[in-house]
Amino acid sequence: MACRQRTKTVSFYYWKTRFRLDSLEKQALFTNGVTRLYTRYFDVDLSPGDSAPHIVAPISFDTSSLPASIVPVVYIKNRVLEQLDSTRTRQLATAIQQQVKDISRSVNISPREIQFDCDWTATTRDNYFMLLRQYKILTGQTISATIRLHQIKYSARTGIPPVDLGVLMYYNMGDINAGSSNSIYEKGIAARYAPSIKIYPLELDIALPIFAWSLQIRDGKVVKLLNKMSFLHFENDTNFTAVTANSYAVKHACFHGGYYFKEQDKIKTEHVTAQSLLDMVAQVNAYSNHRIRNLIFYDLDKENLVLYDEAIFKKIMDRLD
Amino acid sequence: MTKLFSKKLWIALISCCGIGGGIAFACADGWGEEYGVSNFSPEIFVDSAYSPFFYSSMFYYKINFEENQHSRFNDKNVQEWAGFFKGLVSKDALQYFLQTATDASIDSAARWVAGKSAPMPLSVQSFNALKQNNSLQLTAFFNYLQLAKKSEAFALNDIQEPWNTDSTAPKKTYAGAAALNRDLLTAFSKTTDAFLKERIWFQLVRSYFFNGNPQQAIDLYTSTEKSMPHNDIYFRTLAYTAGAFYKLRNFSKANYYYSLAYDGCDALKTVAHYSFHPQEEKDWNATLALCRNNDEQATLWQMLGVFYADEQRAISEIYRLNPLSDKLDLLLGRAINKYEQKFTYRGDAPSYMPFDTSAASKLPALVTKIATAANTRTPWIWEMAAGYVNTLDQKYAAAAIWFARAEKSIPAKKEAQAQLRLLKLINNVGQAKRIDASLEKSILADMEWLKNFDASTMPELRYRDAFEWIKQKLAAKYLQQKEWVKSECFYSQSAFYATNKNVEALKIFLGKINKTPYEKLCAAFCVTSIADLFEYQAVQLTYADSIDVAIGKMLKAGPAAAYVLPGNPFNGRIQDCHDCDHAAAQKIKYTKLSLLQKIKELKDKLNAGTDVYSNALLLANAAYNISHFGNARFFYEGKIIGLSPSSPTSIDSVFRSMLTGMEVASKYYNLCLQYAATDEQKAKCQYMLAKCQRNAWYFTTIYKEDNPYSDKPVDFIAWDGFKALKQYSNSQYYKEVIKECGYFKTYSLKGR
Repeated sequence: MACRQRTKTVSFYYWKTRFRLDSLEKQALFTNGVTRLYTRYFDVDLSPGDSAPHIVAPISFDTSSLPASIVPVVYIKNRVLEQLDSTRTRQLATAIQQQVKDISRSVNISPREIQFDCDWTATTRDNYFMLLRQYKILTGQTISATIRLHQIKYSARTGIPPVDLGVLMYYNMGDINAGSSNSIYEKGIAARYAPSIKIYPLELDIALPIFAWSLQIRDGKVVKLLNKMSFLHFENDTNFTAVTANSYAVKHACFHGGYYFKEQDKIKTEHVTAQSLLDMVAQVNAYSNHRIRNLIFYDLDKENLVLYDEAIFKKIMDRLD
Repeated sequence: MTKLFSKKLWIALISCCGIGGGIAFACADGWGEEYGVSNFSPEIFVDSAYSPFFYSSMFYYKINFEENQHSRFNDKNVQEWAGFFKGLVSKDALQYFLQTATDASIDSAARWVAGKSAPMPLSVQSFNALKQNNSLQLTAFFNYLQLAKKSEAFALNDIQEPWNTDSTAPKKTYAGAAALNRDLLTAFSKTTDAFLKERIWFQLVRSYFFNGNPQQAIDLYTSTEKSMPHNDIYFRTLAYTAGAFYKLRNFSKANYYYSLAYDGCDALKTVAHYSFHPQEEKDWNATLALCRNNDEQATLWQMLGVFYADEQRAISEIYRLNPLSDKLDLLLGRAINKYEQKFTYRGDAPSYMPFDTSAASKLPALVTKIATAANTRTPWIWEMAAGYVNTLDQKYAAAAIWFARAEKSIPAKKEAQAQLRLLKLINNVGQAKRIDASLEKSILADMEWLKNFDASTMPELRYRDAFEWIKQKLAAKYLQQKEWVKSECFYSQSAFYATNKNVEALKIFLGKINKTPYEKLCAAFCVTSIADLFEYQAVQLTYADSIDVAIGKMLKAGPAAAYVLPGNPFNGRIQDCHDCDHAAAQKIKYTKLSLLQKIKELKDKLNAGTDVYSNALLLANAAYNISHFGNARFFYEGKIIGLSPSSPTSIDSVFRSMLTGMEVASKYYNLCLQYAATDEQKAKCQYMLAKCQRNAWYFTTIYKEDNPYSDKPVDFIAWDGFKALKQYSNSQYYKEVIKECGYFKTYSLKGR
């Protein structure tokens, strides 16, 4: 029997507050035929001492020549939802719509789609879903929402968001700590959640991690998260000694990447290998029944792209059933 | 469930780090000082200009976040202008024009000075005399102000909070920049007065920094700075030049200039801290290479040591460069304050392990090395620090030697003397294997000193942790030596009161007339008085139903005996409702003493066989009500037992069974039942007995840590009283119970 399938695509998230692509990032979009770039527009959070939601750190575009169509992404901090009622929800939806419009207008675009990102919980789900419905009524746009692994597994408790499409975030599944586990992706942990994909009633895209970071550890405790610092930042620096495949010891105190490292500090690097990305697709395939068509990689940044072979994104897409 | 979190987590993680990225959990277990536990006061020996950088769990010591960005130079500025006018203009007038006047009022004042407007504006009244004598100076002032006021448009930036929607939008450019820069440059070239010239120079460099090419700011600064005096204005100009280098990503120079500002101007120390950001080791080395002398290098190492929490490395480097450097002091203070976080004491009981020595550190070796060399500017501080780290490491004999050395060169300043005295006392108590008469004698004066210490006369001295620890340590030692009374004096523990022998011994000790000075000290520390002890004994005897003796003790309990109980202790309710009893009208209000006297009266009647049922019922109700479950639980509240907690599990274990016991109440309810004549009376007794049985049951099951009913309902237990009550189902009392007690109702329905 013939069955109508969406075409498989590769996309990226763009998660910086200034939109400015370098050549490697442009190249990645071009090579992978990326037509949609999921771009974080702003966050919504409460300001200290004030229970009213505020727009936080909106993006600014350095250019109006955009290499792909932009899908705005709005991150809603869960605590914003704790204090909403129906009137304030309507106000918030309007404020978000206006801010999205303003930002889009600055680069002469008018996106017809939006994505909401929120780690909502059982207690905030009603308010969150009310906001999503309100936004739909207001704009009539296609709405997608990020879904975290716990939300897919415990959907009876956390609910199914009233959106056109979900994006399953297949990462951030462990604690950030000094131990040996990887907080970004652990195959074993993922395996406990993946079967829920099968029965999840929403159409899903999937978001895969290509970001890397490191943890600075002192006296057995994480003292800093070194954002965007992958193993590449330590492997050829004589101030650091490799201890294991993903950890270093500080041999000589030094400045590096804007951080200061004290002698005897430990560095735990975390990133997702190409093989792990392929494992993820295999895990998803086992339960997706060919439903997943769009892969969105988090995030488009040359610091991340250099960690992989140029062809990896196509390869992963090809493995997707 | 595995914790899953947002992509944004790093923001939260990063923002929780304080100065230097060091993490201090000193106050993790409650409200404490921002420096955690400390006996070593940097306030006493470190220049107060460094105070924001003292070790703290806050961002900056004492001030946390700085909020004086726009005002930090105001006072100094007014003062300097007053000097310019040689005191001929009031400071208020200067303050008005320098800080609050609008463009319009400055313009109108300038017109008046230039003779262009006849009526004198009120604001310039105090300039009038000056105008007659030296109008050139005035003209220069207002001409300068007009330019400076324009600069406020871009120079006074409020701190951008992340929730301001335009926080990431490119800053608006100042439209009048070109004209302003031109005017400033002209004024700078023309002005010959050194005071004015330097200020215009500052304005111009700042304007170039905000509005022009950063290189212009750098060029102007470097070509002219040699002719300027090294005052605050100079360093403010230098700091903008540092910012210009930063804009050009010349981090090594930017950081070097920030270090000069940090060292040269106290008001810019925190500014430099915010802005100092070496990126790579090569930047850092290049910054070091820019230094013209060892002292400049020492400043950089101090900044590294403090801002990036690597005090020991910084101490080693500065000491290598110049052992006499005063930049060592702040680092030593911070290093010791961090190290002494191992100095712990538990708040709940004397601890036999005052020091946790698990954390390995090279600090003692470093401090000892420098103290031994005795070649710093202030050897006594290092000797004192060497002594203290030895104390912390429980090497008391070595510590004592260092303290003795410090004593020889310590200045006579009372704060320094007090610091050493405190550390010596800690060491003296720490080293004691047992507390004997000679030790008591040796610490007596010091303990009296601490006891009577008036912190307002020396707020710098951090003595409270030491004082508390010493008392606990002494208490613990006395406990080991079985000197219970002295132990109790220094650190009160409920267990002491479990034995009446201890209570009597304490009474004797407190009542002793010819106390030695040390005994007087102990007695002064003791938290309980003789009256408290009598009250406690009266309460104990009441629960043992020895009312006659209890009355005798209560009579000696002082004001406590007259404490008025809020409810009628002789009431017996179906449902315990303390609030209802407290709110109810009462003809007779009972005090602790009069309650006992009334109980005695009832007991006498009972013994005489008078109206046994009624009197037994009243006695039973009273016994019930003075227990934890009753309306008169205030009866037992006092200095020793403390206040009654809401849950019986929170009652101190020493007193718990006494205060929750139902034996006396049950004894009298049983007697009551025995003499009950009617079904109404019998029903009441049975129900009351059921309440006693229930309370006892709860106490032995639900309120135990391994509560077997934690996840089961308990609504099914058929108390003996409930079973017996069923036979009186025709009584009015039974009906009331059914109405008021859902528990019994449930039970009674089950039986059907």
